[in-house]
Amino acid sequence: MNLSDILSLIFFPVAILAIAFVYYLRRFPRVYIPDYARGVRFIEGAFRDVVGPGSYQNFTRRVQIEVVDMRPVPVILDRIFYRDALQSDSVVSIGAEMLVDDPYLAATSLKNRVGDSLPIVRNTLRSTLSRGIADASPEYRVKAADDIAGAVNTELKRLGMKISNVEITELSWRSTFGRPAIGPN
Amino acid sequence: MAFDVWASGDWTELDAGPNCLMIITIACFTFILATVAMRLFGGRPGSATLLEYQRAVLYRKGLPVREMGTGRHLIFTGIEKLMVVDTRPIQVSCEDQVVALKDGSAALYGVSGAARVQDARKAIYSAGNYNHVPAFVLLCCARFVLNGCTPTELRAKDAVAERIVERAKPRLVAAGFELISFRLTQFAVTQRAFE
Repeated sequence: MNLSDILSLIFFPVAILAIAFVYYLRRFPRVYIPDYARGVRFIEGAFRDVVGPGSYQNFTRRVQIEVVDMRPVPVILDRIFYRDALQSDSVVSIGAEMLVDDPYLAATSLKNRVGDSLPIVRNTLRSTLSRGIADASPEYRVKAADDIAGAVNTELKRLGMKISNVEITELSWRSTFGRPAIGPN
Repeated sequence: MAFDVWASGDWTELDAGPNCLMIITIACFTFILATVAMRLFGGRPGSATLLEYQRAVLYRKGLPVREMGTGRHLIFTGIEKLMVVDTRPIQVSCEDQVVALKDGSAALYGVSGAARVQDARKAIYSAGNYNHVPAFVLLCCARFVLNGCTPTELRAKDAVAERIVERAKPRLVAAGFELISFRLTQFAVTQRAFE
């Protein structure tokens, strides 16, 4: 048997196998993860690891990669009413950016990452500001924004989320000190 | 005929000589293996066409490589991806907003404006959905400026709008946008900030 015979014998099986392999791969599209996202890899349903940017080809249905976008999502919380430590009716509005801190926790604990985090932000904001006394100075706004970010991030950490660039866009209050508390609360 | 020759290995039945057929066979092998290797480790060549109002950033293996403009571009699907950004103006219009003023009274206002993407790469990274950025920035800036104004100051509506623009412009530029227009569409001062 010469080289030509060997080639002729193995050519068609190899060609068929190669074509079948390429068609097999078509059932498993590549998972593409840009640098602003992370992939949470599950093998047979169990968490395996978090993968970084790149192009990932799965060969079986055992492996699943859920892409988590790490870019900030701008959120506005307008006109949240609360009472400060002096029982003054107050109103605050904030603008902030919400983003994923831990891709695994965010992927597994929240169905709607931003929507489900907003009630926590709102409640934490209210309880944080209720402990202080509203002040018109710019320093108070900065300090209150830092306090809000710290308190909210403590609450959101267990869900794998965080907020940043908190900006108090509106702050106003009506003094009710010495009178029965009235207002929307 | 050709298959019989391949199967029998009797190259003499074809016009071409055995050496020539062997070269063709090896070339076919090489092509098939290269296709499989490319499918595994590389991408499939394809093309993408960007319209005149679109810009894109080419990502290769997850990392940004370069910005691309209008036209047809060769991309290797699988390892490369185009993140397309629409540069047409993004309109912002919000009516019936209420803000507490500096003296405790309230103002009813509305904002209207437009912005467009100037830097595609910055815009992609600015937010999960870059279309939301102009509305977010304009609303935050408008509320912040109005909250620091008294009803007397608000009589000069254009001056207030100018202050809002001054505050919003650098933030939009930092996010890769250009502010095209802005105006306060609705404006009324009331005395009921807490109702």
